[in-house]
Parts: sequence; C-alpha cells; structure tokens
Amino acid sequence: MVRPIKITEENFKAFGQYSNLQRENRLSGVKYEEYISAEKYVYQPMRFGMTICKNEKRFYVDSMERHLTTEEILICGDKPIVLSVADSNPYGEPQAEDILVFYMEPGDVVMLAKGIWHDACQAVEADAFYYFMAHGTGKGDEIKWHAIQPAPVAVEI
Amino acid sequence: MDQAARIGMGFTREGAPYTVENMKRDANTKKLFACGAGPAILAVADTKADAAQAGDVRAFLLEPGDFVVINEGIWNDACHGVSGATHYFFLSLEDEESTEYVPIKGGTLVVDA
Repeated sequence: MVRPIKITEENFKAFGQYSNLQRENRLSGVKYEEYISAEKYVYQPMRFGMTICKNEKRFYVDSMERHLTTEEILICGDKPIVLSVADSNPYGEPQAEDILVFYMEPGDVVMLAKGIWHDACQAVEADAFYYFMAHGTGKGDEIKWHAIQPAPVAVEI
Repeated sequence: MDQAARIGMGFTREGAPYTVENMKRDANTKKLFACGAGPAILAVADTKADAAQAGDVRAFLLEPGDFVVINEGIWNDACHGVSGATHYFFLSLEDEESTEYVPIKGGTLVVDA
C-alpha cells in the first residue's frame, strides 16, 4: 500500500520537473494576482486537454502509460489531486516497487519527462479536474496502458 | 498555441458586476485562457490603437472545459469570477516587462453576468 506524499522540486526530480506557480514571477496587476512561470514549458505545439477525476479513498493503480516522444504537462485545476508515477524502464513494464504518489494542489504544475510511467490522477475529495498538455501522435504504444508488474498497488489517501 | 509558452495562474477576489478600467496587450504572443475553480469572465477588445476603446470591449463567459486562445495584439483584462473569488490559468510568453495595463478610452465599463 502506498500513501501520497507532498510534492517538492527535490523529490520529483527523477520524474521531471515540479513548480508552484505562486512561487514564480508575479505580473504587475492592479486588482488581481497573476503569476507566470519563469520557464517556457511548451517547446513545441501541444494539444491542451482536461481530465475530470473522481475520488476513492482507496484505489488501485493497475496500469500506467508513458510517452516516448513527448513530455506531458499536468496542471492541477480546481481542487487537490493525486498523481501516481513510476520511473521504471520505459521500454519494459511499470513496476509496483517503483510507484510513488504525489499530492498536487491548485498552482502546482509538473512536467513529466519522456518515458515516465503515470496513471490518470485521482481527486482527493469528491471530484476535481486537471489540465494536461502533450505533443504526440496519440497512437499505438504511445498511449497503450501497461499492467503494473507483478500486481496492482493500493493507494490510500 | 503554436509557440513556446509560460504557464500562468491568476486569482481574482471580485465577481460580477465589476468595472473594466484598464487592459493590456502583447504584440508578441498568443494567449490561452482556461477556467480554474469555476466559471470566469474574460473581457477582450480588438482595438487597433494605443488604448482599448470602451465600444470594442466584449466580455465572454468561460465555463470549466472552455478555453480560448486570443491573438497577438488583442487587448485583455484579467479574468473575473462570476459570483466571487476564483482562479484561472493562462499560457503566454508575456513577462513583467512586456505588458502594462493601459486605461481604456471612452469610459469605464461595467460587466455584469
């Protein structure tokens, strides 16, 4: 059984890059607070997507996908979510022992490196949505879900 | 978006009705807006001048799932909530130096949902 942990720049480094927009550059607004990343995330044309997810206090990560040709950006949307990832061999299968689960809150953005195994996110409570961005063909093995080896992993929020 | 972009997030404490007094634009970047915690209002103006004209301002309601990409040079205000505080996201190349809010010409506008 795995419990989600708080995400930090340090503990996410093996999977890609994490940042919180509220700690990045603030734009000069008069009546508003606007923050923008110092870095350009979108290096090439990407599609912009949205996933609505539900909460289950205990759920199983039974399969993951990974993309060999594109980074994937995940932007926490309206409410907290959890993200499950594994740094297993991208040319093999995702391994249960490699799975880590991170909490993400609105303002948190991650860019998954190419080849990082990941599940769809889950809401921490009720339902939540998040945005994702990726470049890629969306075909074949790029979007095939691979079963976790040797067995699914339970996550308890 | 057809170019590199930064990821941004905005917070607004105001919902409608609210006033549009200033707008900003950036000639060098398209800008994508998407909702955060709930519906959001985005006011834009296609004025080809050094300040947005009140008569050109259009306010659009974005529901969760909607996203828009505005072209380079389009005047825009920060988003507002419909009934109170909310947050929203944007993709853009702008930075602190590239955009300044400029008072709109022809009077202040009230936006009401």
